[in-house]
Amino acid sequence: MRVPTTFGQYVPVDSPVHSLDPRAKMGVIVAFTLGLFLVDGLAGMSVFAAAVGVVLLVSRVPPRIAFRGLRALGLILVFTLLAHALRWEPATVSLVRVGPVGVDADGLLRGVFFAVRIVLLVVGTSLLTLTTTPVQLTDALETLMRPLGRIGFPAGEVAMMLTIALRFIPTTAQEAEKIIVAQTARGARFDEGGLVARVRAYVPVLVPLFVNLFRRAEDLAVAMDARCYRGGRGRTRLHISVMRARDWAVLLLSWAGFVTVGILV
Amino acid sequence: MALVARDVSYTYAGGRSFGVEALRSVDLSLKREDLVVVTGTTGSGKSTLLRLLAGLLAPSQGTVAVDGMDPSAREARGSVAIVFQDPETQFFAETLHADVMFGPRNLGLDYASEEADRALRTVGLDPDIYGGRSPFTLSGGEARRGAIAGALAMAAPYLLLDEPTSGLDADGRRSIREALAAERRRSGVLVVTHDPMEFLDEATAVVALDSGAVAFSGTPQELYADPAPYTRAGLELPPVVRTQLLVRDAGMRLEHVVCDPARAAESLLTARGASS
Repeated sequence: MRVPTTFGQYVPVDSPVHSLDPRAKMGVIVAFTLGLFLVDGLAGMSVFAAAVGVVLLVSRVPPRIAFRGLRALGLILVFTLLAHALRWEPATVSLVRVGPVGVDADGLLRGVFFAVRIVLLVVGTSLLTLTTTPVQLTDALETLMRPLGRIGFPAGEVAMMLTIALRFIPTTAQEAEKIIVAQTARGARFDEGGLVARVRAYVPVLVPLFVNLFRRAEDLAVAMDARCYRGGRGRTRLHISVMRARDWAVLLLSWAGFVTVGILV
Repeated sequence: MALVARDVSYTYAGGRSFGVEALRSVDLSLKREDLVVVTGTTGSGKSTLLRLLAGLLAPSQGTVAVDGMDPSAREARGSVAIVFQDPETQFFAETLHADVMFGPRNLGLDYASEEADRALRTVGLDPDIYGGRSPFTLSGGEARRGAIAGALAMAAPYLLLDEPTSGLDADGRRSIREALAAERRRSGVLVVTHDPMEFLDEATAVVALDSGAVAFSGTPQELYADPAPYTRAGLELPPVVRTQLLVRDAGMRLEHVVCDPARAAESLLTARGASS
């Protein structure tokens, strides 16, 4: 049994998407998300789907990994589809009808539209973390948040918290998987019985997982203190990233493209 | 009746550009009452082999069978017990007894409580004293023994352990060695370890892995007779063994080469007496 996590799991391959400046990638994601919410038809949505497809291809991230994050969303996608497709009013029902409930063609299309929007949003944003290391990501965030330091915002500390949080997502997932495997080896079953039985089956996983997390947090805090960490003030950087012409071009083109498509199509 | 791996290979993320071959054409057999020691440097594939034998991974090539069954099959449930590295980090119950009972209860054993008591006694923890204690309050050595008891209580015919003595003091290591010696009367025991010295004197077979392939496979005495493949795999024999091999190479005839310092001294003194 695997723990379904995609977020934070960097795929170490060499690609033009990987080598883009993380700030540019974050800017593209903002434009992509904005455009995705502005678009109001399946034609416009197909442009965004094509964009995700192209980036996926260029990034050389295996599609199986990029789409893995959707597993946890299965229920939400089904709910979105049904919530729009099912109708109670007999007059508007045009496709299938079972008793008082019917499926409306317009509703079905709307359901598909919103489900596709969720899928693209998840896959598109996953591509950011799949092609950017957590350290690059938080360095970029810190640079972007730095101006806020003038009004007392602790940009360095927040960036460090984010670095640690992102860094420990895969570790925690691996730890959970290790405990699940160990308890499975002791005969525990997580896929049998009703909902309550399944939830209860996870107690032998969650208790040690949280105990270990608290221990690790304590150890990490002591280790950071021992290495003289005193917050972000005055910290310098070994690698200073610079936005190149290519990064600016991708950023500006994506803003122009996504927002235009979002408004016009 | 054995736990057998035949020509087993395994690749993590197989078929992808970043896939890593962890094991290559490994053969291994564990029968009841055997003690097999699997050793190798870090990243040599020891832990992967353990997971394959327990049916937690499916081999990319070759077969693993426990008494003729696929170890991941439902009917093989309870045939192989496994103790992972740092098993004490998997405690969850309020008392040690309840935690040890988790496995046998999952297997539906009617005598789960008795098995838990027996397992605790085997690892040298009195169930009347330790059974009611919270597992989170035990010392490092006690916790490790308690966690191993959790696997012993499943009464499986094959027991696999990953680095069972790492990080323990001499007393803790001795307790675990004694517990495994007792367990061998009813199970085949396979130990994966960086430091095989603890187990070599009792071992029926030693398997050394090097970059996922078997560099040496044989009895400890066969290993001492020709340690070259073992050392080429980046492994070192225990100092007490190396001393005996040097003495033997200098021409002194030794009946046995052993890891236990007292027995080694006795063997050396006997050899010196015979040669003088």
